[in-house]
Amino acid sequence: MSLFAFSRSDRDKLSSFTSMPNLVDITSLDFAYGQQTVLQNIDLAISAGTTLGLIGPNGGGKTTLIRLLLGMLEPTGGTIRIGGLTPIQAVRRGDLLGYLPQNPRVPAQFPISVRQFVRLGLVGKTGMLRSHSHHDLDFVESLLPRVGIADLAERPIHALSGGQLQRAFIARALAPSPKLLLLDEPTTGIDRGGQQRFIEFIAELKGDLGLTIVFVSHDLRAVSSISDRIACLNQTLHYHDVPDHLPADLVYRMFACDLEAMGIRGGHVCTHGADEPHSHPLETVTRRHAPTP
Amino acid sequence: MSSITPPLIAGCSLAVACATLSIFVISRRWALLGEGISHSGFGGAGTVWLLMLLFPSIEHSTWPTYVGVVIACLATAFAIGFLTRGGRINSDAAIGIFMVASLAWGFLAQQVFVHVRQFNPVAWNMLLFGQFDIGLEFAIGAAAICAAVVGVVAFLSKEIIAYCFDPTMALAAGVRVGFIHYLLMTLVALTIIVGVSVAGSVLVTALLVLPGASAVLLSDRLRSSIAASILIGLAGAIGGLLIHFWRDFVPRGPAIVLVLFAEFLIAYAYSRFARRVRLSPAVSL
Repeated sequence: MSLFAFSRSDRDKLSSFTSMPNLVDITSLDFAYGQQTVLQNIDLAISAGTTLGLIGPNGGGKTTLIRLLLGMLEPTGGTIRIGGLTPIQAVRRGDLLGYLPQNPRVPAQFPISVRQFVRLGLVGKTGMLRSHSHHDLDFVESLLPRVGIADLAERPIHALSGGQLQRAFIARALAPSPKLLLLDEPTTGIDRGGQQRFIEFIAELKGDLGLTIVFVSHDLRAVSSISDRIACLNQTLHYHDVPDHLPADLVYRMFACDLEAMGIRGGHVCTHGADEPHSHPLETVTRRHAPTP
Repeated sequence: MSSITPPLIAGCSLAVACATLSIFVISRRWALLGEGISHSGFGGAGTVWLLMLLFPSIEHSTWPTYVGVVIACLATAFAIGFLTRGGRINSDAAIGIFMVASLAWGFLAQQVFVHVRQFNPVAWNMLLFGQFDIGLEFAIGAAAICAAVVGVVAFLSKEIIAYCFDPTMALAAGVRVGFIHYLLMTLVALTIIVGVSVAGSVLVTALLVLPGASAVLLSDRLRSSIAASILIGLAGAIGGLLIHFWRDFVPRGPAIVLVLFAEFLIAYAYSRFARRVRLSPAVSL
């Protein structure tokens, strides 16, 4: 039996979410810092068990959307519901959202071990003046080998390398068995080979744990290889279904062109440029999946 | 012996409470928070000294000055907490603002008092360097406050650890970080209120900073770091008080602080030595 087999209570809880049409519902969302509009009229629904890739330029509002989902910011208009709850209610439940921050860092010399650090992910779920349940602690123990840090469990957290630290942060985010995992630029600073291994690792975790994932990145190649749908965010939102059986590289090229048409310029390369505007076989696919209004 | 007992009770209680908070104060980079809050006590005392000019009947009592210190410390802790919450103002800037304003107000009030009365206000030197007379009742009250501080930290340890490690991650994990933020500020303010009487407003920060700074040099485990911090704090308080009672011209505050500083130097030298020993096999290769 897999270490990650769900208990009956876990399955019941999960089924109550998966039976819902959408885990995340965002309706007519607006957000502005003072007079500066950051997000405008965003409508987005994320079905349970799917992966949404969220791409866009720096300053396009990706991290702002994540902070809104985490209840750190208040929308200036519209609504966000996660499992039927407001973001603050969802976050305070402690077992609905997991979050991997961009460029995770740890304070120098904070004297806790990797195991203690991962257990910090349970604090909200357990609640004040209570001890962690044996079930949750056992789950954390099962996560450590799963993410490849079992042999580091007693090491001080500040002694880990960048890659090990990222795995520890993922274990912490997964500790409360969240339904929704928010990954904010998780492949930044990782080389191409490392990115591919990370993507495979996340895809495996998603299958094992029944996660719904929001994968935020400005790296279209990374996003396109894991996502069921891709949303392009640059103040407004355009999103697409990723066609079945389409190689990741072709999806990458398809959306790269689409992004450039939106005026978004990242590190990607559009391979069917002005010289051959209609020559690429993906042209018809691009039209079929044109941005929805 | 009776005269040494109350300061020992108050000093040891204070050392344990400050040492328990010390690891968290350092991790949040609040080393100067104690300085800001304790100096605001000076501003509170200054306000009381000006009131004493209006109500001469209280100008020879120590307690009104202490009440002014308590109110100013708690108010400043909440004010700094409010300004630093959500990054409105950096903590060092917020602390600096209150520290200089309180010092200026306290010195101004003292000079006005001296100008009018031709003598220093009551508790002037005591407030600076911790030369309050500590009676048994005060010592028991101080011990109760310090026990409450340690108890709160013990009962909410996982929330406090999560918050001090990374407030944003703690928020994302469902911790009520606003509550923990103000709670920690209050706990620090309470220890400072007790500490002003033992070590003085100028030096009380040492009890909040030096034990934790020394302990993290000796251990990278949380429990053992807190235990080391408490032992270091206790050794500093007891050592300083014994020096004070051995040579009574040595004030309590400076004696305690200098013992703590000596402990820090020893811990630093030990950590360097231990690191060199750990590295030596690799070097020999």
